[in-house]
Amino acid sequence: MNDQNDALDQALTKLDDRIEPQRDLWPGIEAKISERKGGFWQWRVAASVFAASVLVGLLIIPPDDATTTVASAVPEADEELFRYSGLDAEFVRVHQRSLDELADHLADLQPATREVVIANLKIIRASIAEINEAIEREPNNVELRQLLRMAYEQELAIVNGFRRSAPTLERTTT
Amino acid sequence: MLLTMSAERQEDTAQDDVALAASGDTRAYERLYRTHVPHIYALYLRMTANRAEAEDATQDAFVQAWRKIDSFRGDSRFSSWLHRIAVNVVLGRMRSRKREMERMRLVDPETQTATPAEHDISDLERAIAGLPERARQVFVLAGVYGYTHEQVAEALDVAVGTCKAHLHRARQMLAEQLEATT
Repeated sequence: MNDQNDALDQALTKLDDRIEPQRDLWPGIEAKISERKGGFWQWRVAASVFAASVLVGLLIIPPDDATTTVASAVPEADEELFRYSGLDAEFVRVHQRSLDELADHLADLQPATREVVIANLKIIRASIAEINEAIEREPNNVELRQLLRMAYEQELAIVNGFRRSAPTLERTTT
Repeated sequence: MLLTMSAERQEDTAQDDVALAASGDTRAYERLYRTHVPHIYALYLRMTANRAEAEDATQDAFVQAWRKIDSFRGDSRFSSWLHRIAVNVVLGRMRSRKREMERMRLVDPETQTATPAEHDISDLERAIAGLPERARQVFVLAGVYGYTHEQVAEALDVAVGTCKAHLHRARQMLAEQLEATT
């Protein structure tokens, strides 16, 4: 048995610690890390633009369309838009109900507040559409899906935030 | 002395390439890949005994390392850092594959005869490829690459005693196999 072990140990010392793959694996790696890098930066840029646009919308965007009717100003929570978000049905239901309530009572908001709400919802909905398009190009991009969920949560937060500005809304939901 | 300086220069170059890669330079990362891929591929070929799986795992390891390269602080050699990532990647892949096979009610990979690697290999390489999967994992990590039983046990999520038993069994099988071929 000792002879066997000696032979094994002897053979082990001759094992080559370098074996070249039979094909060049770099192109596959490069494709993945380039995709990853692109996705990462797209996410960072999209997140920055998104955050900045919400801020700008809240602070300085003036009423952009005085003729916009109140009823059509609030976007509908199109179920199709949710398809990539991974948000559960309960969130979608609450989201839709909040938008419906806002649409019903938007006229009760002060004019300036109303215009800010409308402008911000437009910005967020445009961001959501862009993120959905990006996900169609990169279906496995986890960051984009996270960004999409953030966008919906932000939209709901804005709707709920402005509900506090509308006494009618407060009454109807409490 | 010449050899020492050459090794130092190589390490300096590697550190430069690591820094460049961490800043997003894929050309620098390709140089690191070219330097280290034979070591990682050798590990994987021995661990998996399957060329296609070894190739996929190699790509996976270098993608994972690229994603984590920001966390490399230079406390250890880049090759050691990469090796640790590589071991985690291949064990993760093997665990996933085992779970998948169990879910599909296929044969237990532990008792499945491994496919000998498809390259020009020695009798010992062929014998290692023929070991049961867990015994092969333990033998390659502890017997070939020098990991301690504690490290291997932690990586494989088994008891140290189990690890030692697998190594003993693997060495016995390999020794007998080698004697039979000589």
